[in-house]
Amino acid sequence: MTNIEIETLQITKTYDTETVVNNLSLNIPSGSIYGFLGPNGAGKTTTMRMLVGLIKPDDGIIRYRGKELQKHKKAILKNIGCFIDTPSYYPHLTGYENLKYIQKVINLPISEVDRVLDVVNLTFAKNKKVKEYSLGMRQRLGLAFSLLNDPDIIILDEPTNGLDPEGIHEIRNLLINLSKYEKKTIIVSSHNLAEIESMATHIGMINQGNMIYEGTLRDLYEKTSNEYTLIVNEPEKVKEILNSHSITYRENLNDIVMQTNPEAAAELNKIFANHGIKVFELTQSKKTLEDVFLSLTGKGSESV
Amino acid sequence: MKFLPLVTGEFTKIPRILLLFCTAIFALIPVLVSLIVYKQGYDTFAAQGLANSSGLLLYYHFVNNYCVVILSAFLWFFIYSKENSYNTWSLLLTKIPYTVSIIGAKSIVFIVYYVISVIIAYGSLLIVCLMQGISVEFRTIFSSLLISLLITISIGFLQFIFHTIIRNGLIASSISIVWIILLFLYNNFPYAVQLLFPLFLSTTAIELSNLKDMFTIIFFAIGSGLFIVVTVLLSAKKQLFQTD
Repeated sequence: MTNIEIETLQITKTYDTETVVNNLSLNIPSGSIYGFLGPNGAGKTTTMRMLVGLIKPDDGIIRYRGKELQKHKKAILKNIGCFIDTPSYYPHLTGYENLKYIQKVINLPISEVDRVLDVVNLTFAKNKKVKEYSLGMRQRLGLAFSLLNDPDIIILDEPTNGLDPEGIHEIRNLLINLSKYEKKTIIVSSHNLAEIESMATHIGMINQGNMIYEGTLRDLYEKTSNEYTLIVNEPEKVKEILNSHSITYRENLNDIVMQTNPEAAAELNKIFANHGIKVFELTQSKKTLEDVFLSLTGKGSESV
Repeated sequence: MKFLPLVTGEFTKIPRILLLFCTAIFALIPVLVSLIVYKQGYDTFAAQGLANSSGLLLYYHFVNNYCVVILSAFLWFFIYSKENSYNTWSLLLTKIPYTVSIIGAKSIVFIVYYVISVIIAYGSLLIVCLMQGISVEFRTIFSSLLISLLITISIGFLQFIFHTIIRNGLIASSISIVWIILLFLYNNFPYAVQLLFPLFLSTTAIELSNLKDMFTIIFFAIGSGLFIVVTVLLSAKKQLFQTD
């Protein structure tokens, strides 16, 4: 059974009359990379702020390994590294001094600063003032802050914003390695769906403060990829069979696209063979996360 | 987490030399202005029996109140409002989840600079008195020092309220002009307001104590202290970072 690292039970946050997060229940497994997706204004950042105790939910409970955040906030936060709100840090201090300040204040070893700077590949700029940092370097510094003191849980809000493709690749590999080898639980929100797709093991999709999907990526694809492309020698016969089995399909120039599940597709393949139909191709349509996301948030041209 | 590193950490984040320079300037302005007024109006002061350090101090306090408003706006801009412009509250509060400690540390940094300004001002006042041959009444100087340290400081925390309410530090500092105008209109306010409003505490304390009555000074100092503590505690309750 998967251990749940973070769990929210129907958390709600309302600002004035607007409900930003509505009865949201998250289940984030230990050691997972949890991609948190949603369009702008969906409530991602508000949820993340609630997860790190920056704001209190109006309703609902947040638990870390079964312990309530509000009751054990200080102990829980010691084990969380986060990067939220894209701070610009203290520009007149160097990257090293920025990190050292935090370590000094929380009375933990200064040597940790060099370690995290090395992890995020920022050692070369450690003595440069932050005001001279590029956006990408600031993002790395943010990651360095979140990695300080080796927390088990890392919560990152759009960590690759402003990074070049090489930087995105580096950060992605870093997060994958942290999850794979150090068993960190990583929650990462991003607008870059391809990026989430390439690293997340689990995803949560929210829209207008409501959860619209939560689970593994594999499950999501299985649930949503119900289209099969069929290329045969006798399309008319195939259409008759599909009609007789009440299977929805559409006809393209060279193929037939039918909507069914993996079991039924295999069964149909047998039926076609029994009817002497030559099946040249029977493939499940691979939807990208973007396709799924758009269809689930109601912005795609088709519904799932 | 220890409190002292938090305070020393606050000092590393601010432009210390610039703030020290401004502190010295705003400490010396009232000394110089009061000396000029004292020298030019010596006969008037003498006629009132104030041809000594008391006369100088009374005018010093009058000018100093305005300077404290401006100095406070300047100090809080760097000590507090810069966290808004750097967007660093969430960073701080997730690493140091003790809001009262953070605000407390910032308040101590403010108090340190304020105390430095008082030391510079009173050191200069003593030097001025010695150089100009102005007779020094140590009791009134001590009373005046207590008023500056314990009562006038509440003006600084009144300005702090602006910085906690208004996210833009420049605007928060600029509207310190409100306090300057109110100070200017001191005599137009009802007695109760003069007695209770933190902006007027030092002026009222001077009027009532005449720089002599220690009981009155202590009474006002307690009021000022209460105001400062309540302000710090209430500001710690406020959500420090910006929501979308």
